[in-house]
Amino acid sequence: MPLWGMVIDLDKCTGCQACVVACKAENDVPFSSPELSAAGRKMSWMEVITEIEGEFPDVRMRYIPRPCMHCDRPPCTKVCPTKATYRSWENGIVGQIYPRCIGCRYCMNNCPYTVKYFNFFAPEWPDEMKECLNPEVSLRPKGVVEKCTFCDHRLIRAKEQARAEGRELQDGEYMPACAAVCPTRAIEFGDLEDPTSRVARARESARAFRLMEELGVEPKVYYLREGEWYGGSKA
Amino acid sequence: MKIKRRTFFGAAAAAAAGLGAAESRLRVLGRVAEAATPRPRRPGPASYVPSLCTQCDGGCGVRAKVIDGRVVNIEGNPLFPVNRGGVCPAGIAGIHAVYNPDRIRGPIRRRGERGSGEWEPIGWEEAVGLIGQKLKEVRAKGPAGLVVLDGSPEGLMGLLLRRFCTAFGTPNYVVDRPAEEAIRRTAHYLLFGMRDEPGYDLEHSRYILSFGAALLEAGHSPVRTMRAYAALREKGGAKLVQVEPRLSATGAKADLWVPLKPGSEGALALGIAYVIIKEGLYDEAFIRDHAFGFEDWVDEAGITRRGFKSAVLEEYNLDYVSRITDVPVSRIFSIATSFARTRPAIAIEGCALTNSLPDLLAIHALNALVGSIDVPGGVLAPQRPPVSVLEDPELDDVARGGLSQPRIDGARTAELPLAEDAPERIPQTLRGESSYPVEILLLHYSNPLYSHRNAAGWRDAWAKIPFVVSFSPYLDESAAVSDLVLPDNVYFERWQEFSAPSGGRFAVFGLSAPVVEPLFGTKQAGEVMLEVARAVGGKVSEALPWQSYPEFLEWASLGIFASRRGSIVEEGNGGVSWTELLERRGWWYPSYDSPEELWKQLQERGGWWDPVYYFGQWHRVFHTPSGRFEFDSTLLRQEVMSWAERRAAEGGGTVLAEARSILRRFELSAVGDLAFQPHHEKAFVQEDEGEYPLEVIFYRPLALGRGRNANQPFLQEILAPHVHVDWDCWVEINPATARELEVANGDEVEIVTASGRVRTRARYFEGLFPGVLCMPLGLGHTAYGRWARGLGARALDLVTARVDPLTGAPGRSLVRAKLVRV
Amino acid sequence: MAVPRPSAGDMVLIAPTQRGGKWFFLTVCALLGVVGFAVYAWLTQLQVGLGVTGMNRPVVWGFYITNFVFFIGISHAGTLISAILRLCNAEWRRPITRCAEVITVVVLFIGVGNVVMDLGRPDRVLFVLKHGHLRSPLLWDVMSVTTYLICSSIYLYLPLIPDIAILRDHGSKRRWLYRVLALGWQGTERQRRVLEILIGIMAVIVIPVAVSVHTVVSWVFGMTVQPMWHSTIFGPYFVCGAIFSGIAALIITMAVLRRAYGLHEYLKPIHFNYLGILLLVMTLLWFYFTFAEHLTTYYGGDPHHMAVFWEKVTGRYAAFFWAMVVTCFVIPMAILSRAKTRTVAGTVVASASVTVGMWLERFTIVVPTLVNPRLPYERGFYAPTWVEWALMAGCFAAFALAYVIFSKLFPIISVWEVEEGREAGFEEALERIKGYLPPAESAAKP
Ligand SMILES: Nc1nc2c(c(=O)[nH]1)N[C@H]1C(S)=C(S)[C@@H](COP(=O)(O)OP(=O)(O)OC[C@H]3O[C@@H](n4cnc5c(=O)[nH]c(N)nc54)[C@H](O)[C@@H]3O)O[C@H]1N2
Ligand SMILES: Nc1nc2c(c(=O)[nH]1)N[C@H]1C(S)=C(S)[C@@H](COP(=O)(O)OP(=O)(O)OC[C@H]3O[C@@H](n4cnc5c(=O)[nH]c(N)nc54)[C@H](O)[C@@H]3O)O[C@H]1N2
Ligand code: SF4
Ligand code: SF4
Ligand code: SF4
Ligand code: SF4
Ligand code: SF4
Ligand SMILES: [Mo]
Repeated sequence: MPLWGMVIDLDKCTGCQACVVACKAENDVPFSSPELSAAGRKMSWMEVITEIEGEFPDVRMRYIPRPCMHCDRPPCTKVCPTKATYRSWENGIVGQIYPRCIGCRYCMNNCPYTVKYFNFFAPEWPDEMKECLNPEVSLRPKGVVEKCTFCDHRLIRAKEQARAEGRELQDGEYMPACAAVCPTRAIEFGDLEDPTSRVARARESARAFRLMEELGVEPKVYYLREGEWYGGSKA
Repeated sequence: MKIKRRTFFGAAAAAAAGLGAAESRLRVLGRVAEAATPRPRRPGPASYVPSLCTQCDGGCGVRAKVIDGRVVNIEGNPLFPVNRGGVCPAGIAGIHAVYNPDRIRGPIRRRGERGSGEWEPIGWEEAVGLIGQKLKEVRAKGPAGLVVLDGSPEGLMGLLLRRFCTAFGTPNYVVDRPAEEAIRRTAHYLLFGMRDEPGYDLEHSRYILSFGAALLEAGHSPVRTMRAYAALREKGGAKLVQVEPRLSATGAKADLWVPLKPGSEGALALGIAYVIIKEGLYDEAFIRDHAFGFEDWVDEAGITRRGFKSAVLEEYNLDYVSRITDVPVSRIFSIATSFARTRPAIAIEGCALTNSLPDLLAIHALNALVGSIDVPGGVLAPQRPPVSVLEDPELDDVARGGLSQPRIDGARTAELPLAEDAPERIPQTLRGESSYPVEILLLHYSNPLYSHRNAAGWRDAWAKIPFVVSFSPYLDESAAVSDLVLPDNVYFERWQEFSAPSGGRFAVFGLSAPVVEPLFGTKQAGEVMLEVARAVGGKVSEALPWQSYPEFLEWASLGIFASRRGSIVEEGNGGVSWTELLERRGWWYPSYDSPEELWKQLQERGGWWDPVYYFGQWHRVFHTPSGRFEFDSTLLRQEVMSWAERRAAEGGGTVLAEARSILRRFELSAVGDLAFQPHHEKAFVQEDEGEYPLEVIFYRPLALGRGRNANQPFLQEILAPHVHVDWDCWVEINPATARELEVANGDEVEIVTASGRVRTRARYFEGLFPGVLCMPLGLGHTAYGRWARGLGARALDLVTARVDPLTGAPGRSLVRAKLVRV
Repeated sequence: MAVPRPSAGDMVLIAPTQRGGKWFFLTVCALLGVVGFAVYAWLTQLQVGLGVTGMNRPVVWGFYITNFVFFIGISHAGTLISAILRLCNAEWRRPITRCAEVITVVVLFIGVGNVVMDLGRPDRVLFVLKHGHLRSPLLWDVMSVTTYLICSSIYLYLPLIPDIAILRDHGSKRRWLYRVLALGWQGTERQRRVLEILIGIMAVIVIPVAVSVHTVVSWVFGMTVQPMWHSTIFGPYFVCGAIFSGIAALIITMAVLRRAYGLHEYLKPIHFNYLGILLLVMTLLWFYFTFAEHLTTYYGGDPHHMAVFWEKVTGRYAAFFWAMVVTCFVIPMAILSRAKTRTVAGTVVASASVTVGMWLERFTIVVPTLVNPRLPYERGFYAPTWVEWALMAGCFAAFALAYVIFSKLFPIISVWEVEEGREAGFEEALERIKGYLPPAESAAKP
């Protein structure tokens, strides 16, 4: 049984936010406006958190791309009164069933990583832009919660393809949009259970860690700490 | 008052009915909302069609994810050597450039006053007829009256426009884009002797010393530089050092960030050179064999000239440099030694520097000192694909007459002898007495009313240009006040190629056929130009003999077939395995055996490349009079001295006195040999330090680039997470400085310089040199569609409209400002 | 056959059910106006989406959930207090049980209403049954609140039956209604015995149910992993707060009824005094919990928790927090700890203060945590919009309206229980008191 996971190399990530935009385009996440953003209604399943530490001239700035962690023991699914968010037993992906969500936002409150988004309004696009919505994902109506899905529609497509060709799914064949575009290849994605996959090997790195591991929610997104070079004062 | 119980219950019943209505409304709403959730259309299969990104000039190969005939997402083309599958956010937001509701639907002609916003749609035939007619009239009056501003000059479209202008007879094909980079290009010209951008083998370098080059945000080709950065990290042990007053993304990812006073980068480079020379760490072999002017020498006239080495040792001791730059001596020393000891190493400069030409020469001198030129991981000769070359067009008399006129921007005239192009100077010419009137201004990828420092000057000069034509697909500031707009197809709708220098070791030729049918009644600018040429007729038409734009591109690709080099882009490992493969195969590994086959495969795969770089072919690297890297610029010397001699002959003072006055005219304060060698010049400052205590610098957020992308909501949304701003402008300020000025984070402030003022919000940012403000470029549009218009401030309003007399570059100055809370 | 007519004096208790009046009409109109405006606000919200509220990301819960917790808390007034007093045979309870029980039932509806208002998709509210997920504390809430609503409605209804019969037999209005509702009550010995047993059973049931309700409400927060929500103390803390605010609400309601219907003879200063003492006890208990909760957090010093802690104590919600301390503790302490000020007016002032304070308490529990979620990069702020204010006003108005209407349909003081008290209570109490004491002779023994 595969267990899809992600490894993000913070050493390589340059904070460019290609992953952020790719995710929006791939998943039909509506864009905001100055007003919506100011009111805290911007949606971005993937966000690049920028952390600044220290004072001039000893300042550090770090970029941390933050999708849904797809916790293996997700606190969000536990609290959902309607099972509108669930952890798939088949592949570990934490998904959303939009037509079932009652919009109570309890799951948002119990996500320690604050990765979920609520449709405060019905999403809107100018007619021209409706043309470039991706029909592979369903649009969300107002009043429901959404978040990163690990682009599971791409998994379906990849599986179909493999089945049609009568073979197993190969490592790297199922790539979420964010991982596919990352200019520095900072995002690896694959089956954590398959010891030969790139993610499985990457998470063995001594640099690997997970956000707030102490909570025990077993996130399936791993990070690779910035290398020795980071903060080194020797030029 | 006595109230009947009935009345009461009536009221209650009404309330109950109200609630009931609410409930049924709720139910209805529920159903409506349900219906609004489209049941997943059974989407057709996704196909990935190769194309080329034009969101910036980086030249990435992309593949459009097409479902049911619509582009729904964009990814990188994994075969394409520039980006190997990666794209930047702007590359993806391209879907907003294509499906933008503010696109112009077809050719439009001004009806009311200029800028009144009244347009009438016209047909393409009529439009081409109209402009053909106008051009014929201009040609009769004096063909130099046609001015073309081209903001996308690198590729074949630029070639086509250039050729049109030559055949037409106007010297005024003015390149708009690299005006900003003019100073860099001039530096390269003096050092390497050619008007082109050198390549940087960043991927294979082990030490990158960047003087304000925003490699990870606005590099020459951002995705390529980001990939090079990743390669650097994979190697381990390789270093990136970023020298700039502000902690940019590049600085954040660098091994060392060296904040310094704006405008002192050249001085720092000279300090580093001092250490390298003093410690004997320079590459003696390279300097002996490939450099000129390092040691003192005696020239033909028998005069002893002071070489760069003595000059540095005499003028730039570390205490002095440290004082100018505010970088500690120990740090300069350690950077210098690591730079010199790590091979290969690269010193690279950005465009936003406030430095003068000699300062940029100083940065480049570092590469020569450590012998990092034309070596793996060093500075390279530019790599262009071998597209077909045309003979110069045959000219008629009218054309010959026109071409003999001085250029309208003063470039390559006595005004600006070293400048290639100086678009920002055109308004000045128009304001004064130009020797001929401008009749038609043609804008291709150019928006001077927004992008130029001198936008205000353009606005004044506008009335002097009777007919303005823009090819822009959107109503930008300039198109909005033009007379005719011939909207270009956007990139997924058109034939296009990428043939600019790759910036790295390989040469690449990208090609793409339309991915989708044009959404509206637009037409590719190249196609229109061919039609216009035919309408003008005669030699102009003969100079552009192609029936269609793709035919022109196919013709250009013949050169690639004929070159018997390289191959169609393939999956490969950054060229390493490729070199081996090619060696085995005898250096040419074509998958095609006819030009038609090449043409077909170019479309299917997205391009051609040649990964092999031939090191040691010095004639390709140095085109200087000495055939070497010139620490002492013969070209500059010749330019100044020959002019001085002319002036002396014309009855001025002595040659020496004239030369001095010419140097002063070029705003060079150094005297003697130093004037022609890398040295530090104090940056030009317009403002008085007492009244304007702060300095302002600028940068280009990756999302916006230079303003072309401001109409794309996905990009406005991700502007600046480091200061928590989107959909707005901001000014970064060091919190300590802000507290001194009693400015709180988020306060609305006004920044005032001698040139203008802008209003925006202050944002605390620790990564900024105290006393320095930093503003993003790309906001503050007054037109350009619903998402760009009225959003934030245009930072360039703060910058002087001055043109650098040596290079023609706009606004090379240190901007001083004061900041007031409003 | 008819039940006996109440004494002439007690007829004042059923008088409000028999006539309208200008003030009644004006009150109802005013309240309807407010409720109508709230309905309009709600329709707007339904049409446009929850975006019309001040909620945002990360602060996705605001006034509605605050109100939900607050009103469910108030509901403990009722049933819990009346049940305890009944089980303890506290004689002074007789005139106040009914008004307490009504508060409970009305306020529960409003609490539930607030949850529905808070839903992004109220049209799917029944999905909690269709797709119910038993692991979700929200579902526990649904179950316990529903149980509580049913139990407390029964508990309200049972003691009402004899009074309905009085209205059926001696009133002039809506007899058809009372006939149905009286369930053929004739006041026979058997009927009385059954009723008493049933009331007794319900009183016993309703107490654990009520405790469970507020415990479960607290668990909505307590079961999460969020800083300053994830706390074991929340169950009892919330129950304590609930009873606290419930008593306060009861005191205010009694004072209003006393004034409006001239019930000075029934709701006497002594009642207020007793309730005031109860309120004082709860004040101290509440303070104890609050202190313990915050001290533990502070001492533990977990940075995630401390972010919320400082937000409450010195940060952007400090004004709310300290206002809460003053209104929940300082003011009621000052008033209630002295017998001299434990008057009708005094207890009402203290109660009003507590009601405001308990609302602030709920607010400062819900919002500051959301403003400072665990991942320390998402930061927000919450300020309600007119829609939330309107709906909150509507909730209070709807409460008052329902209460007024109830008091117009049924006696708000239990007629038969008061009568019973007068007839049998005295002797019963004497007997009981004797039962507490040792017999005189044995006491005298050395
Ligand atoms: N994504 C994207 N990339 C682009 C473009 C684009 O549109 N989009 N455009 C291309 C074009 S046309 C150009 S000209 C180039 C520009 O390329 P760059 O010049 O590299 O880009 P800028 O962002 O203008 O400035 C680079 C850095 O200079 C720093 N800086 C500002 N002032 C000073 C100073 O006084 N001293 C020093 N040392 N540093 C300073 C800023 O912090 C910033 O990090 O980018 C090219 N690349
Ligand atoms: N605010 C601001 N001003 C700047 C800069 C900046 O970063 N910010 N950078 C400076 C620098 S370095 C440079 S090089 C210049 C660049 O200045 P410009 O050459 O003006 O560059 P852009 O804004 O990229 O593009 C110009 C116009 O091209 C049009 N355009 C977009 N897509 C297409 C298309 O598909 N076809 C055609 N024909 N036209 C299209 C748009 O209308 C756009 O207004 O600006 C300079 N000025
Ligand atoms: S696309 Fe890659 S490099 Fe860019 S922000 Fe995302 S993870 Fe980092
Ligand atoms: S990150 Fe949040 S939303 Fe994602 S699985 Fe974990 S708890 Fe759920
Ligand atoms: S908002 Fe939707 S997904 Fe989240 S807990 Fe409520 S019903 Fe479940
Ligand atoms: S995995 Fe897919 S849904 Fe998740 S952040 Fe990446 S692109 Fe978005
Ligand atoms: S760097 Fe970005 S915008 Fe520029 S060409 Fe590449 S993908 Fe396009
Ligand atoms: Mo530029």
